[in-house]
Amino acid sequence: MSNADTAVKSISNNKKMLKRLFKNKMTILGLIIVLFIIFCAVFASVLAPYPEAATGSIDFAKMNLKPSSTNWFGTDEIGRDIFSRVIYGTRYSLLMGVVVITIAVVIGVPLGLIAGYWGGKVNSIIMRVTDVFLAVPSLILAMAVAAILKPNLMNSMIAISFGWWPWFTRLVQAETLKIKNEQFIISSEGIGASKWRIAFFEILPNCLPTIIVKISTDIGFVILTGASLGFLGLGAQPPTPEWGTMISEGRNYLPTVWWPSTFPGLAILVTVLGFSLLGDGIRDAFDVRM
Amino acid sequence: MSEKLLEIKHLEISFKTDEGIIPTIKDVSIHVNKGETITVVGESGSGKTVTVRSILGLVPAPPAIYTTGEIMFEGKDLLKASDENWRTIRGSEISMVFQDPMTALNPVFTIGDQMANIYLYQGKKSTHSKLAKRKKNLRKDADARSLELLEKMSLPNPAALLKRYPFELSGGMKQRIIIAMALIKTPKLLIADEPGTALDVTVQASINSELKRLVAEEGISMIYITHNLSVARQLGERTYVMQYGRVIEEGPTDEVFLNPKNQYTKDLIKALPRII
Amino acid sequence: MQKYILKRLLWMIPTLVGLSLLIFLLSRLMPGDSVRLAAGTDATAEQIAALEEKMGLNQPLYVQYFKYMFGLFRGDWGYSLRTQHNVFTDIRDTFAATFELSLCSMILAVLIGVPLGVLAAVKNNKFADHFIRIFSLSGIALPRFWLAILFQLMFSYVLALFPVIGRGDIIPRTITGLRIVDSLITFNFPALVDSIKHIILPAISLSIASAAQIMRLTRTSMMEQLNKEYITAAFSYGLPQNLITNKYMLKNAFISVLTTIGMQFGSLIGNAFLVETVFGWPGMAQYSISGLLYKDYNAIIGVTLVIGILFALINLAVDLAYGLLDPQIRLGKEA
Repeated sequence: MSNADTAVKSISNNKKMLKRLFKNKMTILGLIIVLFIIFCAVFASVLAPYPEAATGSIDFAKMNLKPSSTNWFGTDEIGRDIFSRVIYGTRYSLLMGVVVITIAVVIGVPLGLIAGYWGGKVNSIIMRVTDVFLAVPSLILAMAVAAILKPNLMNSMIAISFGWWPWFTRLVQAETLKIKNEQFIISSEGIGASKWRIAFFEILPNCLPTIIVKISTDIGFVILTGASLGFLGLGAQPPTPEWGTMISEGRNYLPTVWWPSTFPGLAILVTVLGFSLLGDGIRDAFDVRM
Repeated sequence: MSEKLLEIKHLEISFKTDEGIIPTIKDVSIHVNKGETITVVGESGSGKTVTVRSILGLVPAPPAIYTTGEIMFEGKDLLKASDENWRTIRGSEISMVFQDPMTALNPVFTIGDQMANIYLYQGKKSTHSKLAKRKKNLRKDADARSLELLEKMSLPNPAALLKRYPFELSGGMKQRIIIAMALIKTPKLLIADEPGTALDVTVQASINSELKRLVAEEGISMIYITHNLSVARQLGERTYVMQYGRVIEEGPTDEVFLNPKNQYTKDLIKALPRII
Repeated sequence: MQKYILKRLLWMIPTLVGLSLLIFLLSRLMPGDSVRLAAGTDATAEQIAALEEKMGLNQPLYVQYFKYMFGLFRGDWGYSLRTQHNVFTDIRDTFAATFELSLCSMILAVLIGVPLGVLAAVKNNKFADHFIRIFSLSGIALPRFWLAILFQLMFSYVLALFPVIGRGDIIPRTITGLRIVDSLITFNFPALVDSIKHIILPAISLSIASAAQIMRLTRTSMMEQLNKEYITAAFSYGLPQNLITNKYMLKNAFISVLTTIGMQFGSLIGNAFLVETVFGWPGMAQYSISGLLYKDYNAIIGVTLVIGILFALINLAVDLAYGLLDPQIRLGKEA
């Protein structure tokens, strides 16, 4: 199959996929939620009624107010408007999702390609290393790493990436194994194209669908993990309005003052749900079996 | 006078797909008389499997749409059968032999279990019937019947076979077992959907001759589907030829072979390897 | 089969060694004032140096590592900066609590998820599809620690149905360390009731996300079964619906689900740490989290290794269960 044939095939495939993508109402719901979250993150300073709440304003007069028409989600123990903080929180969650996935892809995908295509000893070594990183659940590994580094937002992202890249390696390695025996690869090898060229320009494009599906389904879970670290105090530190951190801060005032812990959690739920629905829809559209 | 056991009358089926509603089976009429074996011949995509599975209600609808036609069996239209009707008819009045021995047996249950379950539970609404208490004895009877059939299919060491799992057996053995399973309750009509096509020619030939012998012994009517004309010639008294969802030729088998009227039939006959 | 188990056990070793190396290197290479923290703010330079000496931090890295590894086998898991005990005893005291919670949650998740998945598989129309998708994805998207807080709020504070924190006050005699099991073995019913009352909320909040995941997988697997030829064949034999659904289909479907249960357990253990925090559950969570904030490295390494071992054993157990269900694996497939 020449490159031109593959290109034509993929264009008509793409059209079919887009059609399937938008047929599903749930996927559209997910897309709406995700776009809304992105919108909140970008325009937080405009959307938040009390933008100073995000940076650490203190107003004891307005301490622990119940949700009302002036403060939709109420205020916390130092008078900050929770609704505004939740809006600003979208920034940190999205940042976490993007950064972690990027690191995981940048490290994991090439390693998987190399392992799958070169095979032999290289494959064994790389897969053993991924086994080590996957020997404990990723949350535990993230906790351990985040604790050893100083707890802050950036380090929590690095910590989560530690446990995330191996999954991409495994995925890409498996895909590469399948693809490397296909005719068009063998013919390229016959012409004498270099291994690196084949790996990155011929095999990798064919792995893209599975990679994209994994990225879209994983972003939500990265955000969830990030919030978990925040909850444990291992992520963004107060006064940063990261949702997990906010829930943890709010715990001190339970049960009477329930709103500081409740609403950020709701935000997490909605965000992760949105990404999951979207990711699910993308997977169905690609019709990929993982 | 031969009496009609099963009659498919002017059956029409369409399928709902992403590209719209596609008519698939067009005005198909096929009948089987009591004690008779007929063959339905056609290539893949000719509609023979859909037609024949409709007899047992095994075509999921949707996406299938039954626009017109009847399938008459013992005075009733099978297309209007209820779930309860189906449970009674399937496996007992009408049975089916499946094509691919690799996929037609459940991989996680023993042969003995799968065969006994037919004996014990065919036609029942649920497994929790009054026979729970007498289960042990009934299982003995079930196994006896299973052994009887395995011996009839010339399978070696049937007792040990009952304890085996499908993956431990060869294709030929599995195909014979599938036939045995269809015969446990001695149906009036047997539908054989290309049995053994996935296997070696010699294995298939021996299976076909056993099948022929068995249905003759028990007086079972059979619809035998195949894409292989020479097999059709050996087995059926009458033959139907299907193409693109239609019956394009029918008649006594010898007639069809010696005086084909349709060009497609002529081509099929020409394509047969000739042994000089 | 035994060969397979042996092979897996052997594979565990280099992986866990690699893990220990990874964490160890991370902990020793990072600049950390953990010793200073432990010694106290007004410690003198000599006191700090003495503590470093005691901890063996002055020796070259590889010596430290080997000493640590040898110590592991002798039960000496290093000195915990925070509790001043041997990390081994600390973990030993808390492990059972975490294990019991995780195990209960896993069992709950399967007991809830599988039947729901089977039920959902039967409903095959567009509306049901959408509803089930949202329902299960919401379950999976729920932050477990948030759910734990909500449950605690609703059922412990507001409705006062369950205790707010802790594992229980009536403690049965310790045989396995799992209080529910111990209460049953010793016929100690007050202890049984007390333990269940305390474990119920944490276990449910921990299990819901896994239950939703399992429900989804079960449903997908069951629907795949519907397309299998042997299931069509089963229908053609006139067999009853409950036999086909609950045995013929489910046994096959569950095998696919089982492969993910190992991973489910992984996320369950991780999240157990969060739920333990909310409910004051005296498991490894409290110990390690305090350790994390104190930079108590030996504690961190110890807990990570224990979880690594537990995780590997769970995956092994799952593979064994696999063998129980799938005869091809049990009897050794012939080519």
